[in-house]
Amino acid sequence: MAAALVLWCSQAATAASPPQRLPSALIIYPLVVVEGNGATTDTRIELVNLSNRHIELGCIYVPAETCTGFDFRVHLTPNQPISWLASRGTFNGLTAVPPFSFSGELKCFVEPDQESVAAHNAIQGRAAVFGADGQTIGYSAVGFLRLTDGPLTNEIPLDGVTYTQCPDEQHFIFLASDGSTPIVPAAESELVIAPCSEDLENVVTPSTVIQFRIYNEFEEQFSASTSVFCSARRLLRQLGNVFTRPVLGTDTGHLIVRGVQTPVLALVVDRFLTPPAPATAGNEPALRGGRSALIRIPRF
Amino acid sequence: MRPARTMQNAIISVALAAALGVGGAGPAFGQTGLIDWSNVARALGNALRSWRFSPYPKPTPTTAVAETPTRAGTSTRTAPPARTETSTRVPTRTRTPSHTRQPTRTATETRTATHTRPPTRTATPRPTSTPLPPVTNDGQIAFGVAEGIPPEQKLASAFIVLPYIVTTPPFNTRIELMNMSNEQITLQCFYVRQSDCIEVGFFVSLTENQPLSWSAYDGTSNVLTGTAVPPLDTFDGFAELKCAVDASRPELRAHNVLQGRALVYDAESGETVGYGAVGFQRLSPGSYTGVVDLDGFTYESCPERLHFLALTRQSGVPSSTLITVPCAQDLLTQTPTETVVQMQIVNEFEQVFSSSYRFRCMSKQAFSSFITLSKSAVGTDTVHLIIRGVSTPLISLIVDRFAGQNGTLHTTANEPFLEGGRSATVIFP
Repeated sequence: MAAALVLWCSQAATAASPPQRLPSALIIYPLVVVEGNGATTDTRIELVNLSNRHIELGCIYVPAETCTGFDFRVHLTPNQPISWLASRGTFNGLTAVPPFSFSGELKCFVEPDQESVAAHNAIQGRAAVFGADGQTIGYSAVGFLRLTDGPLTNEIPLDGVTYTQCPDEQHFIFLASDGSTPIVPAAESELVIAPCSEDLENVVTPSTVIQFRIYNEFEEQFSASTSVFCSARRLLRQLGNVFTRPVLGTDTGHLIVRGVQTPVLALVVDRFLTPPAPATAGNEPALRGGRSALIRIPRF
Repeated sequence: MRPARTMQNAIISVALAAALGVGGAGPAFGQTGLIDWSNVARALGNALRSWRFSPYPKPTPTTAVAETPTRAGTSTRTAPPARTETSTRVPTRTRTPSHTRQPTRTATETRTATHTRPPTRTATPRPTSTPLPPVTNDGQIAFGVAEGIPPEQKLASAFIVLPYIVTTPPFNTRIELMNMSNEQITLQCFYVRQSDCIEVGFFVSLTENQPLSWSAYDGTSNVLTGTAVPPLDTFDGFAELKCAVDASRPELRAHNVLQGRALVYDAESGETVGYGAVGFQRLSPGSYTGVVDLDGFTYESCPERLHFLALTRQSGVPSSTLITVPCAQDLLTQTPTETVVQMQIVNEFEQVFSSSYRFRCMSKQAFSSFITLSKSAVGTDTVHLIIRGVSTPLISLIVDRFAGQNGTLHTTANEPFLEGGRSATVIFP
């Protein structure tokens, strides 16, 4: 492990990261939260058709605990936006989204009526997770572009040829925890991990080791690691005390996240205390390098 | 006209009677010689034509011969404009230029190939008087095809823009930058104030992989690295921050090393808006001159259109806010950029609305300023908002505000999706 970490530290990622904020063929929401049937925490999921044609999407909710999928389809007219609360779902014409009562991730992919790249790259999305305690986490879905013409099959290769690759490294700027005890979850930043590779047809739960490299403002370097089955949410402090100000030594850190067995998608939830209420914000990573992954979706 | 038509009918009647008298009509008769149908048809055609066009020079008989009655009928039918319409509709597929981009993206070498491009950029006039891209959609910007390539986001960049920085108490902003390379870098940064576009410049040095954050209200200083960020305690309203990598070497990897974000928070209400910087990658090697040409050759272009998924304004909830800053900026001559912003709003039923407004320097508009962004007018919870600057491309951000459980107010940043590209130039003093 130590050798691998040293090797990783010494080499720069060379493949291409997936560029973001462009019309995409596959989007992944790494964090969908429903607690108390939406009364405690709920998620508004938003999707938009960025093309001038009707499109059909296949979507799969994947609960974090089981990694089994709930499929549904969404039809969007040209330029149509749509949003729904995950706890309630929505029903509109040919679109029927079931209510979701778990926490997990959501994947949506374009099922084009033509094989051209433009017919694939048509959607974007974002989500807002909000709780009764006032916390709000807004973030954009991670988008993957189709790169070559062809039909959609039940294997979605994120290989840099058919679709853009998964990011190899994800770089975050995070705010260090003040390190006070006991831990107040509402004031602790959190890391969300979702797998890039997933076999939803055979329901094979992906697992991987996640490596962390942390730099403080004095360029001092730390590292940590953890294991993840399917997807996970962890407070940064639970990953190691290096994320606290007394150990890190500075207010801000540069966190680099990388999956070992498979690339992962990550999101940090920034939390810090302001006088009246905890402040929360989604913290999306900068991406570096690329690695291949495969998503297998159920075939009907 | 009436006698002519009567005569016409009479001739047709005579011709039909003659045909019936022969015992039936069919193509075979015309060939067997019992009756020469082609002659009958030709005579009929000539008669009709002569009546219809009698005052005018007659059509040449040859054309009349060429068109046998049945042929004439089919020819007018075979060329239905509908066909040509569908074929002209296909061009919507030619909007696939967006995928021709893919190869260029995967093969970054093709981009670098453009280094040969003459460095005439310094001589070109700055502010983007770039011609407006053709809008082929009857004026509806929502349904056009934006040309050019938008900047790829969330990657290590050479130039970043943080469009929303507030330091008016009780608001403050924490600015976060990080060096994504393994070498020391220097940044040239400018705060630009909303009220008059006055800028405040400073330099930041980052060691390899170094993160740095500071409170915009307080600034920061580090005598070891030479970083000194002035406090924005006297800035009213809001500001933006632009930072460019002052690369020590001309190689691209010495330029594309920076990312950043900002956290705007209200110390009284706890309202927090965290967003990532808009990043532009350097595309061709060269030294940093203080002139940032966002032209798709030296640096990535500015986005031509920005697409937002926005929540419509609901009664009893504070209004969401649309922030826009110009992509082009001349901080050398202190010339504020002014532009009209076009907005196209598509609701969930695909109904289209539009609005526009003019701003100078930069702008913060409440959704309550636009009836077309209220749920009562639009009819749906969510809209697809597309914005575009007329005389200069824009960078924009929405601060979403909505009511959650038990009417709790929630606030979050809403960053746009990008489409197309348009040139702009930022000139630093």
